Amino acid sequence: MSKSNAAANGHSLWQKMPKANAELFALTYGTLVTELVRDYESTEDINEQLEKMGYSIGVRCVDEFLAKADQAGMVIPPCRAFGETAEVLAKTGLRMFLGVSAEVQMLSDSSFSLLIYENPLSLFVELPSDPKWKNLKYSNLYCGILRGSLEQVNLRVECKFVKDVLQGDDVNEIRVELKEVLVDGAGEEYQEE
Amino acid sequence: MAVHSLHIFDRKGKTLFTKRYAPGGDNDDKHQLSEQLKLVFGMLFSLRETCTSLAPETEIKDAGLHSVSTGAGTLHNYETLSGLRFALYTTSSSSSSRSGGNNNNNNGKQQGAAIRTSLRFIYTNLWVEYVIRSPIFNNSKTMDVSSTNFEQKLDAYLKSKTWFK
Repeated sequence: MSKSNAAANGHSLWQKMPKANAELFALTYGTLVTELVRDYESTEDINEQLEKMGYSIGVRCVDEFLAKADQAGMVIPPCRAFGETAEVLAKTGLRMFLGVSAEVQMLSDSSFSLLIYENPLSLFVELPSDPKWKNLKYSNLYCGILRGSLEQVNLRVECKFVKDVLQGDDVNEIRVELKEVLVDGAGEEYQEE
Repeated sequence: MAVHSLHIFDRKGKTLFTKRYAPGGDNDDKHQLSEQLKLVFGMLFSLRETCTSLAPETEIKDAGLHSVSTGAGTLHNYETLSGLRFALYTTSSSSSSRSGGNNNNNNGKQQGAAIRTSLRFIYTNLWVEYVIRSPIFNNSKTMDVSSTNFEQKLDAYLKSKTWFK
């Protein structure tokens, strides 16, 4: 799928989606993270919980994405290279659900970086300067979402936040690495005993 | 033409939803039914592998398996990129007559297209809306499709179609 196609598709899908209030969205997420901070001691646990939540969101996102694209008459063909997947993710998928698109950088056969300039989740957020919070990945939900949705199309990936605007960098960067291409197979019910 | 049954499989072959519309047939012996469904899934899976290895490498829209037809009926199949498979088994109402061979063919194609559109509609409007969006659906034993209102919406939709009896 060519780059301009992906971006145009993303834009038109975004137009069709019902919108929610951005402030409500950001504040709800902020409350969620605050609750997690209260429940868990270490920042690793918080990050892990955010990633797990993102995973179950991602699993559902992919069907919605395919269904909406189908309804809009767009053809999303199976990707022939990992770079195509990255483009569709960044330009069409993220655009459709969040209204912001990302850039794909450092593309190789098995990994790429997603650069997100505007993060709708961190709209009013400032992290305290306590060194304890240096490891908190506030928007780790994205990593889970990417992992969940790519798993539904047979790609097992690992996603990590590399740069975070809330921690002082100039851009949000998520590194996505392809671990394994899963094979469509029969599940446990079909295993010979 | 009557709809006999609808089955929905996931990527691993697990049956997510199955409903029988025609009366009679096999008694509801759960074990037998699940064996039958496994065979259906296996057939769809193998046919898809064959199709992808036979098809040329171009971007053809809708390049999956559409339907398998026999004298008794047709199994219509719709697959998504996420591995979800919708299989609808319909039986032909009129007995096959040799003389009306050509006519039957054309009618069959139109009906096939209409059913495929319906399966797409079931996916985009019913499945995504009522199952994926439902917070109680988790694809585990306790929280499966029956905890959503997918079945009622599906029945309501199918009743409104002219080819459903």
